Amino acid sequence: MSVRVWLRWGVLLVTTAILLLCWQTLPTGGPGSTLPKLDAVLAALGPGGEWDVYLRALRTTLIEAFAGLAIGFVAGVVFGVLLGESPVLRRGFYPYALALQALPPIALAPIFVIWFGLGVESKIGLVAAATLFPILVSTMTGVAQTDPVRIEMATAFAATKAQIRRKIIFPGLVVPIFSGLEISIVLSFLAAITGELISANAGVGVILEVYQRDYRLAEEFAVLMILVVVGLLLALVTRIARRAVLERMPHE
Amino acid sequence: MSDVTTSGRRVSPLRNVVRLLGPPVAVGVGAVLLLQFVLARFQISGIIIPRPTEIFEVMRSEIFIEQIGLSVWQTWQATLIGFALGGGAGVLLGIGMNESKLMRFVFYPYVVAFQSLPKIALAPVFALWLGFGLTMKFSFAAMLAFFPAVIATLSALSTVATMRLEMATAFGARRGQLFMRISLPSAVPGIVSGLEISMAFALIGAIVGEFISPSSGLGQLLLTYSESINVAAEFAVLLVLMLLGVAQNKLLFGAVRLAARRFFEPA
Repeated sequence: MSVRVWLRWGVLLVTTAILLLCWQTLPTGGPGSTLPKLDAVLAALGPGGEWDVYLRALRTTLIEAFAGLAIGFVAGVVFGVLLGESPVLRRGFYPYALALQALPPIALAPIFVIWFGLGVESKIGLVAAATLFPILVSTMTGVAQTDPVRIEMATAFAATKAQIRRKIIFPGLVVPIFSGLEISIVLSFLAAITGELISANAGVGVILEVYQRDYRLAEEFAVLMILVVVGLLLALVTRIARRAVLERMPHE
Repeated sequence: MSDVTTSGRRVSPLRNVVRLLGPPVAVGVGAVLLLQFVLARFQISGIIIPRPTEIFEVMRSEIFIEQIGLSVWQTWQATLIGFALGGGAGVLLGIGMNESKLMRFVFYPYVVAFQSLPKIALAPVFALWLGFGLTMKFSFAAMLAFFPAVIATLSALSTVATMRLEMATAFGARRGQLFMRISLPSAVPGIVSGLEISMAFALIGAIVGEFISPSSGLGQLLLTYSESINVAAEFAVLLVLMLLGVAQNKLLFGAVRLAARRFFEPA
């Protein structure tokens, strides 16, 4: 047992060491080189790196992501509840929702730029459009899957429509909405960066392109490394939040 | 489905069709008419939101039909190549990681690290390495298609019922037999779902590739129309792109699902 564990760690560490060594030695690092050396990237991540630039860009991107996510979340829940409660509306709108979902949301980026300009607004719009559908679909399915027996029972006991919503339908929505939200959190960050890559005046996508244009590849790769860390942190926070939400749910 | 309602009364097929298709058609026609009327009534410029008739006009023009046909092919070519490479490699790595604990242990940290990077941010780097054109597009598409395939394959294979595996082992099944007869058939639906996501990502990759280093395809067409502020044409492209997405996700993968079910008939 312990020999196998040692072996596994050994192989992992050795492969990682070889990869890092290749990264350090293979790129020439001179003019014309398209991959910065490892030590250059690490230097750009060190105290001498342009942390004020990185952090300002990251702040812009995160603000866009969360503002857009908030709009997409509210709209998704509202429309999801509406479509979930009315079979006629659902039949009427669902094919279009499916079709719109098949459209890659990032393809909307040029239109949002025409509508809202180069600033944060167009990115917020794009993020909202991208995050809306996962939340809408999961909310709608959650409403439609509410146990009809419980609703009939409550109706028999003369519960009002508002009471049925508050006591039966809404509590059952927490878990499905949260699973939609998990997808949308990832999408929000992605859509914000895509929007910035296509046309923007600030944010992570912009500094990536500016560094590349100025041929400062070490800084560009440093920003990519920072994105990995931010992505891991977002995933971690989501995971903790899911555990908290599931624990607070009443067990039936 | 059935032409008998819950009360047992027979309903004419025509009424059934109206009941099923009525609401979506009503919503579609209503939205188009409302949009047309509101945009005309409040004299909203076609630069902001084009009228449905303007979009229709664009879609009928010969130039557009010619351009869109070519662009759809260019984008889908990159999508297909990228999907085949990335999705295929992803399924293989997923199988490898399931079969070998060592491989799983070694590759897992890298998969997680890449998974948490918003991979679209790598588009400029791909443009730097591979320049313009088809190679850059399909490589980027392949990279995006790779990870959903790995994750789906791994999770589909690792949820195969251990009892069936143990039973077969007890009856002396070899490793290859276990994989071909039990693990793979029961993992196929999960893998196919993963590949569906992979292909959607490959399409995104092809389009982002065309946005970042424009050479051809729907992405470049969108940018061109955007620069000339031809919003009606942009909407027309988006409509076509939506149809492409539906065809790819629903029709193509519907067929793949059916074929997979036929081929891997559960014993």
